[in-house]
Amino acid sequence: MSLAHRLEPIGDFRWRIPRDERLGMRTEVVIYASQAILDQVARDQSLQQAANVAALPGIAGPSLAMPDIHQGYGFPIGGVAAMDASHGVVSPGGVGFDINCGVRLVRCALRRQDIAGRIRELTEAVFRAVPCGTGGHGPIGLTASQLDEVLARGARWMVEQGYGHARDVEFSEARGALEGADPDAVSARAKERGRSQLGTLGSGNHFLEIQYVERVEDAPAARAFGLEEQQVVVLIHSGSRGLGHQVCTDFLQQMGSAMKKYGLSVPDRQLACVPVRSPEGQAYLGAMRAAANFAWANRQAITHSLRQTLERMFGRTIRAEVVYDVCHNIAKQETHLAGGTRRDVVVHRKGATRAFPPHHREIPADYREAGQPVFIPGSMGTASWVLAGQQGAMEETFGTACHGAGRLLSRTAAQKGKDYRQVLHDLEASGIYVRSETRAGILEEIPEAYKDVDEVVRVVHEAGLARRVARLRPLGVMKG
Amino acid sequence: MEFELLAHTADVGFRVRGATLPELFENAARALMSFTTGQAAPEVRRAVEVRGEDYPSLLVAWLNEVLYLFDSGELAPASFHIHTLDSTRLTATLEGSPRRGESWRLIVKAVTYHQIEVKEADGGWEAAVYLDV
Repeated sequence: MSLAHRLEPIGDFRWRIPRDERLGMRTEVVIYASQAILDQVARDQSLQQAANVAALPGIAGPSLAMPDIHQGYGFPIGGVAAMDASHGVVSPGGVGFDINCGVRLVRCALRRQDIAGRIRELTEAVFRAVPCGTGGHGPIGLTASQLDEVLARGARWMVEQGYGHARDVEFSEARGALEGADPDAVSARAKERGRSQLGTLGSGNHFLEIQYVERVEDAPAARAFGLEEQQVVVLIHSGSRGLGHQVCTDFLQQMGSAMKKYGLSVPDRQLACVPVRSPEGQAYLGAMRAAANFAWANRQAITHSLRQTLERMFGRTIRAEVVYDVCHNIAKQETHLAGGTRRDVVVHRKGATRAFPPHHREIPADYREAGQPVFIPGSMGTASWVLAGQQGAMEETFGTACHGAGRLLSRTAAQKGKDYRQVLHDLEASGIYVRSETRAGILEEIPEAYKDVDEVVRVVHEAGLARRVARLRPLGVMKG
Repeated sequence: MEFELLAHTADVGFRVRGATLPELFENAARALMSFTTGQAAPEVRRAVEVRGEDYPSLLVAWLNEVLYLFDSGELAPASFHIHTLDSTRLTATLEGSPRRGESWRLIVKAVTYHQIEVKEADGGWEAAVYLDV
């Protein structure tokens, strides 16, 4: 059932579905969208899923939906829900299987013209250096105790081991590791799945793109982020691989019986949840943070392989530096104003990015005036965006903005009637070289499968959640 | 073995049938393995036991077990034989070999509970399962 007919406009780019107790809703749904996006959203079950989230116990503020919202399983992708930290619930499905799936932007001391004619060579070299992991193995072998270090200390431990520079973690959300990670709460199975996968990209929508800065829209912020027009940058999109997937699987399985114990019921099994303060809730959060740290370590390992490749091809003056690293599948304990009072909440961001405004203390000093960088990957044939968090996000969305273009077509629909060679040819004709492990990896991710990233970004910009800083265009794309 | 792909905006699902519940569960495992390349040689046997609260959660647990065995590299399964199956427990034997050249065509992260369905249909059984990819 679509709830589109219940939508009411509440000012520019904001719509709401009022609370309806018959649907079990404890609060309203607020969606950020333009009319064009709203028409697309109404086609699948994402609004119903956002209404289901509004039924979760202890939800503080509305069930929020970003303009890239699309149907997930349980939570919609592009959904944000803050749960009261003392009497609310935590839901593994509100984080997703790919815990700390996220994006990292790396800038290079190279201009577009410096790599003209070498895009194919560079993309192929990166493809060899960064495995997709479909065969299961990555470049870094870890002992059991080393894996526990990764789970406890994330990218920070990787940097200490020589896989990067101290600066890399300074310019990462949570400085590349969440406190309160509990490696012992991660099952032996999760560790087994993840152990050989550090430094692998994954498949599906994960990618590594060589891009250039096409257009700067906010010169002071771009300067702060070290970005200028025609500069070469690399966008890395990956997560916690099999380790994170297994953590989510394990806890979803356990939560069925735990929910009975706490007298909880949910409209969709994938929304299984337990009280934040329960032993089960704390165990999940400890394991989730450990998996998040694995993901930061993974993006650090990929950065290391990328740097080696770039230096081999262009020399050590390449200075590949991390602009920032943000996660978009996570539950984090934060303090926010909700309903006029300060509350400790667990913010579930499922396909949504933290977007803290200028002067927030969790932003690196160099970025204090600009706001936190937010990266919005578009499809491989279009564009990606660098944004900066705005005060509006603190006031309305628990410091959150969107995370991508948002899928429009299913994977099966995207492939229908498409010829692999033609797709590659069309992309190359527009100056984009694509290398993928599988044909499906390309066909399923064709530009038409996604919403218009410019329109999605326009909504968060106009709504005051995050403002446009720079538009990036792909040159070389590596996909799983 | 028959199964059909189901559309989902972000992920992928399949609908599968079987004359009996054990056959349904075996076919579902084969459908999951259709997202990998090639068949392994049946060199070794692996006994598994899986528990659930009802048929849907048992199906999710069973498929996640198969997924784990493949993803950890322990076993690329070539065949599945369900021995016993009630609404809370199943026992089965998998034949295959330790994973060598086999890989995912599309990496399946997990089997989800999203709109999971196990029901009687046309004198047999039918299930719908969505995968996170």
